Amino acid sequence: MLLVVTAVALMTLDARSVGPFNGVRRLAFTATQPLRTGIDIVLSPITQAWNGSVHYDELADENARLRAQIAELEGRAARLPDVEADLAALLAATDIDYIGDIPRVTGRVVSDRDTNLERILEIDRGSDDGLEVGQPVVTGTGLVGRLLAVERSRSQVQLITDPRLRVGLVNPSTRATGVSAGEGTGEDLVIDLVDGALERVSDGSRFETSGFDRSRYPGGIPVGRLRIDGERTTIEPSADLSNLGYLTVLLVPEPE
Amino acid sequence: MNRSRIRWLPAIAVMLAVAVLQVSVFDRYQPFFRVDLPLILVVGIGFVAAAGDAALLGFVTGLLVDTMQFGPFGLSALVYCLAAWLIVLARLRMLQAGTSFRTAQGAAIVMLVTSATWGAGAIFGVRASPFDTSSLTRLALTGVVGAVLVHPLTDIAGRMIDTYEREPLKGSLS
Repeated sequence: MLLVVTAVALMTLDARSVGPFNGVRRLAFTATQPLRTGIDIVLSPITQAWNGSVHYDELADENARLRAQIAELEGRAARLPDVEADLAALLAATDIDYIGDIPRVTGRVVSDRDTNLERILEIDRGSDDGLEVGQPVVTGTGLVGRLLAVERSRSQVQLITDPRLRVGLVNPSTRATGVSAGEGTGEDLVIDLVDGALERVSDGSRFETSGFDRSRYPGGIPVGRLRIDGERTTIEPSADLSNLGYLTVLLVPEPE
Repeated sequence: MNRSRIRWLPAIAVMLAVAVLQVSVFDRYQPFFRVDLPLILVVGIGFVAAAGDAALLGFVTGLLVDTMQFGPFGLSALVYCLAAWLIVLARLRMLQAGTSFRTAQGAAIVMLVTSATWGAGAIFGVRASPFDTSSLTRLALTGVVGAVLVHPLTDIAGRMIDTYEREPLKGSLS
């Protein structure tokens, strides 16, 4: 009974952000980091082979998709006179131009942990590189998540599919706004649109971060496309969250 | 056996090793199933310890797991503590259980406690829902892994505690 009461008390304190829990977690991660790094080194050949075998079907699918795209582009190239301009536009669209001049740090994903409760990525950049808890994490295709914990040389990333992570969104064309929340690993985000916003958007509408006052996320980061299924509105993330190799952290200060 | 005493040094060493292994290896490499070493250790503890000690060791194991993840701090401690205590109560009612029965018990308990953890995660808003489309298959495979690993981890749990029979009271008729 005493243990149950203690556990509930700990959860209550943690929920209210009272107590040294974040410090304890940081200490635990820092203390085990050398061991984790050693295990990374030992297991890296196995990991590569493992990823190749586990993601073989996905890679085969992606290969087929890319081949289809190449065939389509080759067809276009034969048809369109100004292929070079088209290609330049395509490259511009895939560049991380939406970040603007915000300082950034790019890190490699060194760990992808899936526990009973959450999926957490770890990158090889930390407070020594200027990273802080809460900073947005992106790829060239859009928002991936935020920094959940930062050690000296490593950081943990919370994905946008995490139910605890809420992001203010806006449709750039109609200014329809809403708030997204995760629905778990591999699932789309659920979006709660403000009153009247649904009439101004349609299936496939693009949403990006709103960047409203006191938001840690700068405006204009692509998040995904709207999916309308009856009463249910969801966002299909634009970033491929299933297989992330490198991530870029935006060094945005905490709003005052 | 109806009493036990925790050997704290080996107990802490085992629990720490299991937690670190879980974070460093088993949380990261999951093709189709999940290996949950701390949970299987707690099941093993439940099979060999007395109720109070099992609950305490389950609580400490859960706390170690909580320090390695970002869910509500104390959630795993609560679930593992209750799980270990309930396993002892169940065990005391099934004293004739043999090896194969214990294997089945291990699988069932691992699945039950995993489900309970997912449910608790959903209640506390860490998971969107306790079950999704792939989770039932994953749960069944996790149970199979639990059945395979419950024996070695029960042996390890046995080294974390001393067990002995309760001494008869002086003057009693027994």
